[in-house]
Amino acid sequence: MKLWGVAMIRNEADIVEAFVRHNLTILDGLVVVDHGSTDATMDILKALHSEGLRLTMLRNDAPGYLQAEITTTAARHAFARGGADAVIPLDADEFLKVPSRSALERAIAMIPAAHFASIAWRTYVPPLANTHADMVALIRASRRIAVEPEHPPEVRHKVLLTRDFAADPTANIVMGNHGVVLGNHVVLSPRMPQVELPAVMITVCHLPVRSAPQFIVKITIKRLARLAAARDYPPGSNVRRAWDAICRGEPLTSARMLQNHVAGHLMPEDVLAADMAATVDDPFIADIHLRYTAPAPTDPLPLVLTAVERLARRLGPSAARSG
Amino acid sequence: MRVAGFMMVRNEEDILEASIRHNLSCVDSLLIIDHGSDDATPAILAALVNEGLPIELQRDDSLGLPRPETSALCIDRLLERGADVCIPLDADEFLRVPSRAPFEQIVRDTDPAQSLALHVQTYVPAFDIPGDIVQRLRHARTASDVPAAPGKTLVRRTAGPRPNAGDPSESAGIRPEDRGARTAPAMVSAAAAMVARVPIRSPGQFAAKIAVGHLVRALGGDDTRNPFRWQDEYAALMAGEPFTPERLTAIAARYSLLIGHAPDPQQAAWIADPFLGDIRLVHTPALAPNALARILAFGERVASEIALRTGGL
Repeated sequence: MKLWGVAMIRNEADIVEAFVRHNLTILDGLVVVDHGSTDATMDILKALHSEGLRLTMLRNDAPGYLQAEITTTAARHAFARGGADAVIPLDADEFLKVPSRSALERAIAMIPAAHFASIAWRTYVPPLANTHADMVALIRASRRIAVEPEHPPEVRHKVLLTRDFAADPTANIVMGNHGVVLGNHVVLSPRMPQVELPAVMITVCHLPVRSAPQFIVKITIKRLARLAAARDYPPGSNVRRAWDAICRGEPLTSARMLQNHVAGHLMPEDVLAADMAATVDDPFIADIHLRYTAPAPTDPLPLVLTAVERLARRLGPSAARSG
Repeated sequence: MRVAGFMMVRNEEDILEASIRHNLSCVDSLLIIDHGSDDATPAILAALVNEGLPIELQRDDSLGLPRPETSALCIDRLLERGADVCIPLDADEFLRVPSRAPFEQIVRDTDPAQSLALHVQTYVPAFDIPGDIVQRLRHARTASDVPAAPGKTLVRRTAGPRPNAGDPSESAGIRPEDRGARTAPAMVSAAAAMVARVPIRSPGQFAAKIAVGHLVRALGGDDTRNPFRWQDEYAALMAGEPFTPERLTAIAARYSLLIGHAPDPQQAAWIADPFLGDIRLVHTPALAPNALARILAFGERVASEIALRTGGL
């Protein structure tokens, strides 16, 4: 059985090497779509590809937030070109934990026809106040939140796709890789039925916050892309409140970042930091070593400025003088 | 003689209240166009109007550079309403007019066909003095041996021919300070009137100025039009190099000067030469400008406009 991953990434230079090296200890191949990175992400990917890792690189420079469309295309690419039997869409801050590949393959073989499988999605937090030798050290020091925030049901899991997804041209991954719809509308189109894979068999370990600058870049560029795509986060949502806090120059404590980001997936209600204070040791990172990852930048401004410049150039001179 | 000031401002929350209060001690009224500010500038302007200060406000929400004819039209309107002299000012410019009488006499005595201009002197505030911008401006210094910056041309009701507004080739690109300046202007004695300019006030303000200026030019597709001024500073910003007081001072020393004409800031003779009137700030935020916030606010407007025009990318 061939098991592939696909990912759409943007400005993930701090973590993309760890992402690729770790997940390729489990997967047979990765399709990575770079969505307009302006940092060292593409250089790192090229270096990894040159090592002979099973990595297919694609690039999409559309300025909007098109994760669902791009990831769906990448998944179809993995099935068609990579010969994948199953595909797992991932983000660059997500790491698979699979204790037994053979057990996972047996479970995948039992997924009913015309279904996809849902995978447990667990949040990890690093000790943000400390400095670490490199990203692997930071990941090793990360701990899993004991009780996940109460996400809405439709965003509690990640997906694993079988060849039945590839065979159905109407099947599309929804934004966030949390589900599959049979059509083009995330709400109105029928959802592909799913079965759940046990967490002991496979888990997606999510490390959304690594540092204050990384958090600022992630939150702001994602919101700008979604705004340009007419898919803005609703007022009062955690991401919008994080945006406002950044604009006000408020200090970003670990608790604030976790509160805003871990629960930022469209959840408008407060999630108290105390809810996420209890963590458990549940390591996942493979024995990998980084060769190309530079120390993470300490100033988010250059990356944010570059992202806004891309949008400005996209809008163009016709808008420069409209009132 | 009625003297009116005209200002086009954008995101000047740190200095605007100071320059308005100060300049209204030198001119009779101000016409101010807020060109799409997204910081505290609109609130400050509204508060000053509510105080009863002689300010007329307009707003232009265009994202890019202001239309070149906007300033000319506003100045024309001020002159038609009875102003004898109009002085175009930026938000970081402070008139120094010790007494109106000698200044007005110079204006009266100058041939109407001869344009007039004020000397402009660049100042560097005391970056490390605590307190509000007024305290730092009171300790501002200027380099006495810096070559003179281009003068600030006054527009008089009796000045020479107006640009033909119906002819785009005639009106486009004419800045107010160019009006009537077909020949070299006569410079008003600095003792009678001059302009003290404070273009650089803090690391955050300067970073915001560089960043948003770059974005505006990128939006217009013409970011090479002014290559002489900000390329090094933009590169420093993108490289994460801090704008230290020493670096800001060096930049101020060559502000508006062509490369190669700037003095060595270490060698320049920095002197105190107070210009600020007796003012107190009421509405100015205590925090220094936040460059990242200004970039994000601009990005928010651009992204919203993209969504509006495309229906979503």
